[in-house]
Amino acid sequence: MTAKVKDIDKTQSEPKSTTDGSVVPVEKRAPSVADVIAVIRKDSSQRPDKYLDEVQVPGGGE
Amino acid sequence: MTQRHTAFRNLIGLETEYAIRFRTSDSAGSRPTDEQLYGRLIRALNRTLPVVNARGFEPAKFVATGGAVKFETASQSSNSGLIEGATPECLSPRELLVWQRGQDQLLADAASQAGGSDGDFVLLKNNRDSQGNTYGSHENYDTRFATGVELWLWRLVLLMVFPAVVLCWPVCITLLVLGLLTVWILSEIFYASVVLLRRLRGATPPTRSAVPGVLCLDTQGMPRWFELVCHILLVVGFAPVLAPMSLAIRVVAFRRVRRVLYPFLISRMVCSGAGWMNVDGKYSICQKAGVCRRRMASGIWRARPMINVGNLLEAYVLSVINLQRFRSLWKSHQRMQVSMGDANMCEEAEYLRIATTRLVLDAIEAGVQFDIPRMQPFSAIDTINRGQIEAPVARLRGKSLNAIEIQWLYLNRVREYVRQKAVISDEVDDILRRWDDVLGRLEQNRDSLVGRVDWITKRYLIQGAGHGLSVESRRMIDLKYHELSPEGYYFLLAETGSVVTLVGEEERKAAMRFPPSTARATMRGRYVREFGNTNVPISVDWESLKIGKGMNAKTVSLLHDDFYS
Repeated sequence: MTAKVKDIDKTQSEPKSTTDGSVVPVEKRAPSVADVIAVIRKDSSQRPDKYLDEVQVPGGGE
Repeated sequence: MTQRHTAFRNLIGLETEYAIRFRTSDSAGSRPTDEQLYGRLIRALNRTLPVVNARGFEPAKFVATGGAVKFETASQSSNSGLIEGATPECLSPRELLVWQRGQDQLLADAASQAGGSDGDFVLLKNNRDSQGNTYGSHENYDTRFATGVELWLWRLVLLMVFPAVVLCWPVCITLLVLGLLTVWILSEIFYASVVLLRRLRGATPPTRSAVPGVLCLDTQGMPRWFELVCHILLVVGFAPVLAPMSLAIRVVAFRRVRRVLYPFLISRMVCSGAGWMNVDGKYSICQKAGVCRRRMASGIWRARPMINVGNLLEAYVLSVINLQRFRSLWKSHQRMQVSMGDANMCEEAEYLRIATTRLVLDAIEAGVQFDIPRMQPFSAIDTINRGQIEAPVARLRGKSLNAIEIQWLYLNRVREYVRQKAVISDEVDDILRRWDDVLGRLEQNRDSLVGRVDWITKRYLIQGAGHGLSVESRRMIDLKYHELSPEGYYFLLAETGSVVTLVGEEERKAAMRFPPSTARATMRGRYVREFGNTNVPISVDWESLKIGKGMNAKTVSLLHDDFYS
């Protein structure tokens, strides 16, 4: 399964503008563990209770 | 007695219950039921692969990979449930890992396509929901059931009790019909009384679904007590069969195997536990260990055992309808179902969970004598599960052993077995090397197992990202680690290259389309592919398939890779 890294990549893959107006593309790099931690922290601040409500199996399975 | 020495010749398989998460979109109305979502998932799956109905009572589907998918109703709510995927039978742990990962991907893709405009549909491969309810993975190992006198005793009981099975069916059906009729009449009288009382008070009568305990055939489903009544009636009806067979199973079934296996199963959670944060914010190693309170049981009363033998009782009761099941029960090898084990996200943990157990079972079957540590099993489970993996939990020849040392004991004995019986192969060598490495790191450098062992990987993410966060947020991280979607935290971490992967992309893709090498899985997969999207009626189960209808129907046995006498 390929991970969705759009939240992670945004800061590294956007081209940078230089003082003379030219645009220097920045090479896309693999996300780091720190990037993943940052995504998780961001997620965790957004209604974790809603997520918990969505994962319920009353009584469980076999 | 002839000993079979070759590792991995016995069939293995995995059943995995996936939790459903459905996030309703803002514009959507009510949330679809879990059973409706299952229907959508099957339709999406069928757009990728041929799918056919299962034989018998279960509303399951078989797919062209040789595996099966079914909807499992939650124990306490008819409205909720799980998606259960069963891999086809495999011959080696690595083959099983590949087909398990193929199944994960296949179902995750189908769920994603089945989401639709009303919301996002995602599966979670874990073992506990947000309330702590349990489900997850069951491992199936074909292994020696009994030998010699014990086997003949078992066969004698099978023959002697069989007339009771034949008689119990009509008794049970009568009991069920009468019982349900009584329950329905009582429910109607109760509802009529409530309506009458309301009318006398001048109030509007309530609908059926608004009165707790009243039977209601709308989307609310049956009340929990009604299912319980049905269950009790069935157990009472079959009591003359269940009582002697349960005793026979307790005395005979896997007797030598299970004695050796218990300490191994209890201690293996240090390598394969998935980790769990409970509602109080306490972290434990294994999600399922805390609920296993029996060594072996049939699950009739929903007790969660380490080894589940319910499949033997079920096969026996159903052998009146399908005599092939009776024939299967006659064999010296049977399917042993291990229930105390977590579904894993880390490939290496999943691989070691299956592979080390398979090797220990093979060694037992080859006649290897193990030193069996003495322990209080449930006290040991609790200690290890709390994370005290270096606390003494067993004794052997006056020496205390912790969970890791118990694992070393088994590893060293398996090493000797592999050397003495010359069953070495690249795969066996790989398993022993990884098992040794993980145990060594558990003792010396636990943090280096991030990306290899789930309970360590998830704890690392919770500690790293959850610092200063509420228990709710940390529990969300726990759950989302198991999400089979690009947003799942395990897959986010995998993107960084920090997890060990054993299954290549090409292998996984092949396992999403084709069956593995075993004869019965290959045959089943071919028939499903051939007839799946045609008008020819076909129904399949694990042992046979039926093509056509009525008198012209043809039954094909799949038991051609029958290794056992």
